[in-house]
Amino acid sequence: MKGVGYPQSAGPAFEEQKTLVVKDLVKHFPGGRTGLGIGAPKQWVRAVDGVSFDIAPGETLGLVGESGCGKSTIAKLILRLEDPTSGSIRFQGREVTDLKGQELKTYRRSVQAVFQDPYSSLSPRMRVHDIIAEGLRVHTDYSKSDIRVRVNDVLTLAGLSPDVGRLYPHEFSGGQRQRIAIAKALVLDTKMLVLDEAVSALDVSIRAQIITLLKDLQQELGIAYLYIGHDLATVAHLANRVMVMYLGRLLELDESVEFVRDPKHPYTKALFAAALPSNPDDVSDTSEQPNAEVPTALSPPTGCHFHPRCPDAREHCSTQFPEEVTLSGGRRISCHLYPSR
Amino acid sequence: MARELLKVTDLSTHYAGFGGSRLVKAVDGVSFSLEEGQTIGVVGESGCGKTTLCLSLVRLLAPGAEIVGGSIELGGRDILQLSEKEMVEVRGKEIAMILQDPMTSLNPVINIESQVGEAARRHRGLKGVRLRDRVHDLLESVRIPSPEVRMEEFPHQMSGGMRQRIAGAIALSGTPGIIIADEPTTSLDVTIQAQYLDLLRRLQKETGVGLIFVTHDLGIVAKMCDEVIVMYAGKTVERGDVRGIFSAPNHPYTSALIRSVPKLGSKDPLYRIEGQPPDLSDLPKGCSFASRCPIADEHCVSHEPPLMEIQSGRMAACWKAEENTMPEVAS
Repeated sequence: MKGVGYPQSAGPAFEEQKTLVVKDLVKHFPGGRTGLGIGAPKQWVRAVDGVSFDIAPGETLGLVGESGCGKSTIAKLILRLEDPTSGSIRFQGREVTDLKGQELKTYRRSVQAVFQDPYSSLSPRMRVHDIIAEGLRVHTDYSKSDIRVRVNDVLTLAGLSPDVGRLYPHEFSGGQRQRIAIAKALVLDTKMLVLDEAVSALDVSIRAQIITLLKDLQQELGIAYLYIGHDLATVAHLANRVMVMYLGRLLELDESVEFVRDPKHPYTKALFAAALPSNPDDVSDTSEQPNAEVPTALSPPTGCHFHPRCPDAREHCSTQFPEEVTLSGGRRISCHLYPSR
Repeated sequence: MARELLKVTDLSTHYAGFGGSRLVKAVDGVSFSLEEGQTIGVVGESGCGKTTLCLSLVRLLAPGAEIVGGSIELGGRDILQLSEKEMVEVRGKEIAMILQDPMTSLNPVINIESQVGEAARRHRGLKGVRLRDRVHDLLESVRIPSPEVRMEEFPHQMSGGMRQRIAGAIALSGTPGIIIADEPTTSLDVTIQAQYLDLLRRLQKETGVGLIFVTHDLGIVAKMCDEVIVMYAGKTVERGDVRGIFSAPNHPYTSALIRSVPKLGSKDPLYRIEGQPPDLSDLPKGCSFASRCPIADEHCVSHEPPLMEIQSGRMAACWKAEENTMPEVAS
């Protein structure tokens, strides 16, 4: 599906080829309650506001954006840790937003997550073997010896020695803990991993180890990744396609090579301008950047959310949200500079 | 040549770890000097001693840590010889600090005016209207919108980026010659980070303040610094001009660090430094990096390389610095 955006009339055949298809996803949280915090909320935080995308098997979709853009909410919705306000999430062709009980449990076998901080995401009271085996104990009827074999397999897969199973998380460095978290996420028949800033907390030299591990595992196992991050260079390096969100909305999406070569949305351009140089000779002066303060999602600006910070904003940008268009070549973009026909 | 602000010679700070049974050499023989208007980057990974180095410079070490050797010359005197009372006059007035996390480094129950004004009052003797004007100017210089309103407010009423700019105003308040910034932008969003870094550069141009920038991020070094000190396991492994080091590093660790960072637009495989940094209380006999180094040999494992001048202005602690030929990255 190279270079093809989300088709408006996607048939079932298309959806079955994809690991995940998200359509018009919306999540509003109650915010700014009055007085004692009881009664109907005064306003709603539009954390995710009509976002559509898909991920194919073996593909990495990168999701970039700054604090409050809704990227972690997207992760929680996909993992069914939060229920969406509206919209659909289809996994291998099946709607998952209304799954309950046994069906939800089955879904959770296939979709796993690795979080940013390997210090708080692993139980300090459990041995590594038990941390990893937990999923097997909950979801399968494997015997003790089968569990041992499988745990040893995934430890090896994650680049650890099977001997480490008897140790506790505090005996490991950050990078090794992240390997444990990855092993834990792969122990069941995982089809998709949500990687929420999975390398951000690691040291530079360790980061490269984990990035390479993730790429190798994907090649070996063919699983789909949703990689969420704030560092453009890392996201673009890992992902086949990259999408940019701002205050709950998707602004731009394209293949990562194209995306880096030619960012089109003014916000994406601002993100590129703000990215740190990889060499002292590439230093650009960003001091002319307009106000960098991100408005709150509780009362986002009217029209295009980015217009108060946008150097190219015109009058109607403050009143009308731009319709998303798909440009030739497949780029999806929401910006009045690229009007729909 | 610009005026020298600070000269650190052979500084060593050790911790008595594990109940005093083991010695942790967090900083071991670090030397550098800082000139007016110059920015020095201290780069390294967690546990390399960069934060201990900063805290040593202002003598704010945690109990159990001790500066065991070397000197820190500031304005012609060694601040290691000063009494604690004299040190109070140095902190904030001659050397100020900006810490990593603006959520915890500001006092939540004191308003912005008092926090920003504290050093100006304490060290520069300003009061009343003049103090208020000074705070107003400081807030303006760090681009806080409507300073007269913001001064009355408290930290929780501000965003992360604004708080970090307040922390910058506090550091400038006593008009110090030197500001040490320890990972000041790690908790900020990318666009806010870029804005903050530009702000620091502009303030430096205006005031000639010397900056010591501690970071794990090579991008920040590339953007901000004139000179860089690369630390590994408590020691300086390489030191020199930033451009020179980025284009032709002499130490394999520096070279590996630069090549392990994803570059925008490149899908080339990253260089992986295998293994872990060594335990600072149980350092190997030879070069600390030898076990992870792709070009190390027996001599490296048994003999510790001193910091040697490789070319004019460039120091590296590596036996093979001159022949540093790192292998290609295997995909």
